[in-house]
Amino acid sequence: MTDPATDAAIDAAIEMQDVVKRFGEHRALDGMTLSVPAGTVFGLLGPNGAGKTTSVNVLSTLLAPDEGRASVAGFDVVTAPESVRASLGLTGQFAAVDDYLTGRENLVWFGRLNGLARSAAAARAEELLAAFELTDAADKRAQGYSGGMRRRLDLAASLVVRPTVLALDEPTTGLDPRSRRALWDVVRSLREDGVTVLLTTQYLEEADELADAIAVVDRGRVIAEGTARSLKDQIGGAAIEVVVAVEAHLVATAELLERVTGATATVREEALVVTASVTDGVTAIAEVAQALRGAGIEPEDLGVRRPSLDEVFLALTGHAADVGADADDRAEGVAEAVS
Amino acid sequence: MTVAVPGVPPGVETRVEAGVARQRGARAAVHGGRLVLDRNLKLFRNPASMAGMILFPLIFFLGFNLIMTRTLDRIGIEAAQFLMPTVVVQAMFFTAMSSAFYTAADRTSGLIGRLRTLPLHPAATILGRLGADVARSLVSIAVLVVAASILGFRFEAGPVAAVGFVLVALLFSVTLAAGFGGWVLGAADPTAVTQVMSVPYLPLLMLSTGFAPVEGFPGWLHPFVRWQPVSLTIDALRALADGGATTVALLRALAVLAVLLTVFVVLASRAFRRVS
Repeated sequence: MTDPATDAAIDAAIEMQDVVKRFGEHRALDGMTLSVPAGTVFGLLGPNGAGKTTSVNVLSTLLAPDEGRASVAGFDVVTAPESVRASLGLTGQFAAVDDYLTGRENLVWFGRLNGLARSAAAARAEELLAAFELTDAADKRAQGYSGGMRRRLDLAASLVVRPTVLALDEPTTGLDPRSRRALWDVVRSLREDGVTVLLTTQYLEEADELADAIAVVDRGRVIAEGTARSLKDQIGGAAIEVVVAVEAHLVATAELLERVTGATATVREEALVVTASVTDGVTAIAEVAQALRGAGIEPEDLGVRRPSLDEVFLALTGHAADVGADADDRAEGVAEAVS
Repeated sequence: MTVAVPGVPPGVETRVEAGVARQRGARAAVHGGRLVLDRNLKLFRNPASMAGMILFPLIFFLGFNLIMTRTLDRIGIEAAQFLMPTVVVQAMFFTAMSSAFYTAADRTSGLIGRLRTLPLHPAATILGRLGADVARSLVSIAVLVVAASILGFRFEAGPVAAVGFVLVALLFSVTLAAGFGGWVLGAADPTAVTQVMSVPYLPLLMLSTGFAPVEGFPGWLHPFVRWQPVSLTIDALRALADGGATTVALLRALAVLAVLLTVFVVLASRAFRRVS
């Protein structure tokens, strides 16, 4: 039938090896390399324009790579795209369900498109509607669904048959916290079922919650890889943040923070914020609180902050996360349009 | 929300071989095309879509008759017979533009990209679209034939020519739909395309033999009016409806439509393969 899986690819459900994808002059993927073990959740973390969606599009056979190799479930995306499509489920960035059909009609249709007989597709649709809490809205057109409902319907449509590999492209962007958590639960239960999940996200928190391993992507390549913890440690862990009430307190607070933490304090005058990185946030915060009281400084706010994706980015790349991202997106759009 | 995704029932697991088989061969293409067609036909069930298919062609036909009957009478032309091919061609424009509208919506929503990631024959999406366009065209043609017959239109050349009339109209419809569809698939902004589709439609229909003979136009326009595809199609339809010398008109229309269809299908397929 199709190419037998190479030895290296048998254990890896997803492989990308030095993949390059150009849109005109712009290199959307520039040596993308990653390997996802079967049965794990892998987080692809990065800002807009980093190459997350392009990676997903290459893996789902929508785009052919210009250089390098990519495989899904052991099947090469270029030489065995049909087998890749038979193994992969994709929920893209925009809920691609049919607005004009009802929720039930959508799921039955996708079941039929995935090769289910009419009765099996109908039965499967019922199950998924119930599991995703869409039974009440089953006979309403998807057009009238809320953002969260659309995402659920979209995800359900990717699960009408069990995919070996499921790619979720920013599945929670624009969702309210409750829908986001519900979706996280689904991803966890899929992993328990043995499905390999590739998850792209802009949120460190999300990758943190779900992913067994994370790759940080920037300008079309992986710039750091590891677990959420190892990535955070790599950039210095948590920070103490003090918000002072008056500008006059800034200097004294900074000196005090440096004394307690032993780290250099950063002052953002306009926001009246002083920060310093710490290794043990809980102990440090008690000491800082005590020292502030001793100095007679009443802070507006005091807390331990985990690093944000922006900070991870700044630390890893030396440039802020969103610099150039918009321009890259535009370049990609234009290049696609003219090609 | 219930946490667990229901266990996959027996026989429902992804089977790679079965998935691959659904992407290969003519039978898989037809089967997939029918699934897409089923869905496309469901989209016709809204009032606006029905109006475009049934009401608009009727209104234009009756309107043109009302305006032009006396004028045409004076030069010895029977309006219903003369205008019937024109409004059929116009209705085929409506079909093709609505087809492009649906394609634009499906591209914008990401549905076409999604279909391309499924274990589904790559031709299924296009065949399903084609089937829906043919169905829509047939409804419009049927409505116009009935209405025109009441006003005096006749297939003077018999049933075979009548069938030929319908087939040429369908060929024109499919050609246009492929052209507009490819445009929508390839353009940077598909929604913008749907707003400017009447730019080719209006002049092509107005500057054709549909409403007046070539001689009715200023001299410098004669070559265009005589040889442009819409005129050639209308001339062929008239010949098939009225009888008389049919072969030359028919061959001209078939030749130009075959060339255009080939070009449009190649362009549309190329654009389709780039949609993500």
